[in-house]
Amino acid sequence: MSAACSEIVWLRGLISELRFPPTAPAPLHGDNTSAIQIAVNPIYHERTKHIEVDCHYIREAFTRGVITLPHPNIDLQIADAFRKALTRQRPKFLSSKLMLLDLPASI
Amino acid sequence: MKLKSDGSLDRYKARLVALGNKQEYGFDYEETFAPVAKMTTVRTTLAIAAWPLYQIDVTNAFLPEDLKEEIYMKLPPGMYTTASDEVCKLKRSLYGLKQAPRAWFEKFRNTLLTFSFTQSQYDSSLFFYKTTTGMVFLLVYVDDIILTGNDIGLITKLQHMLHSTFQMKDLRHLTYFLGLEVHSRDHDLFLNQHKYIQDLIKLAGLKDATAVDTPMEVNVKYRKDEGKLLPELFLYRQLVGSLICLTITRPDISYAVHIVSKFMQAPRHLHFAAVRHLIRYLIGSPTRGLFFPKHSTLTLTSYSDVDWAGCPDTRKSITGWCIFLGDALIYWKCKK
Repeated sequence: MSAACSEIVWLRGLISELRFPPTAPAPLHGDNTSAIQIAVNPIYHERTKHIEVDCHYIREAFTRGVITLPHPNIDLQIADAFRKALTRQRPKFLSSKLMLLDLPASI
Repeated sequence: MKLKSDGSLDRYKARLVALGNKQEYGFDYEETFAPVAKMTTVRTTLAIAAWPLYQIDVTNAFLPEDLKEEIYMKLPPGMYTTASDEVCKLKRSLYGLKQAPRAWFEKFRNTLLTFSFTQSQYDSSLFFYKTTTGMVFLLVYVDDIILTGNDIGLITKLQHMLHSTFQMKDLRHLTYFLGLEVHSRDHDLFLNQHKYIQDLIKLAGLKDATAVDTPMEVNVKYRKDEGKLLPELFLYRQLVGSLICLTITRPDISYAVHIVSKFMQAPRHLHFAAVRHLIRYLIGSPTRGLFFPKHSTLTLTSYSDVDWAGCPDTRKSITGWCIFLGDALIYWKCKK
């Protein structure tokens, strides 16, 4: 999540450097509810001992309004495709989501 | 021989190449790093720019550079002098020299900066130029250059300026860039690597194989020390290397490529079977690629997901994430 967040920061920089109007906060869909809550809630959590740079980084990005952290529907978790083998039905769904198409005859 | 994107002959080339591998660090060369465009930047630029895209070819990019170091080389075959032990001193940079790409980029950068271009802070191979009437972006990947902008007058002016410094062919619409085939219509863009996939299938010797529906066997965990060692090390590495290149337009195979590339060091038969399976998946969808619709918004949306301790060898987690710019997928990554 933190790695994705740093890419967002970089891309936002790139896009705004190209002088396009600054964009609204980018929603970062993660599916780990507790991670999201730790990031959103700045209160010290007694049981989260191993909080590292990653967490603070996300927390800062969140408070600066660079990202928002909605919780997505599991079926819509597109990033799934990048961490496990796809089954036969999933590729079709994901392909249409990822805008991944076979060359259309019209173009 | 230089081939066009459809495989037909473009033109013949002959080149004198220096033996860069005989050069010694600190003596014949110092710095060799030269930046190239990140693929994410290429995709972002293509997704943002709803304008005509052009490409410029520089003929013999490395040749007109002046060398800083003093380098001697043996006479090329076909050239004779009276004394048998004579060598020639290089005045200009040659293909094969370690510093050639750096010298080229440096010169190109300086030329652009004198034309009052600005170099991007986020990707040093992206240059842009803005006036009150419009803007022009220029993306450099060694000697392949993408040019786009909403001010045609400015583009023509820039073309003349570049012509005065470099030897280059005329501007043409972007169709083939680094093996990417770019199809555009009404500013909708479609990127794929059809020719590259065909070549890969041929290389793997799977021309007549049947296609499969999935990039990878489901529910199979690949371990690093399972099965017998593969004798064809070179072929495995070559195929996986080509597959990594292919992920530029194929996010669907990125996880499978991630898995098979873990075993580059010591591939085994099981891993090679996974590569063959992946290539058979490509047979079924050789023209698949990324689609960038026009009038896309500029909001970034991202998704990330983690597989808790998913790697059976190291017990590390695998993270996958992807970022959309509007509807266009511009960035994705699978990482252990």
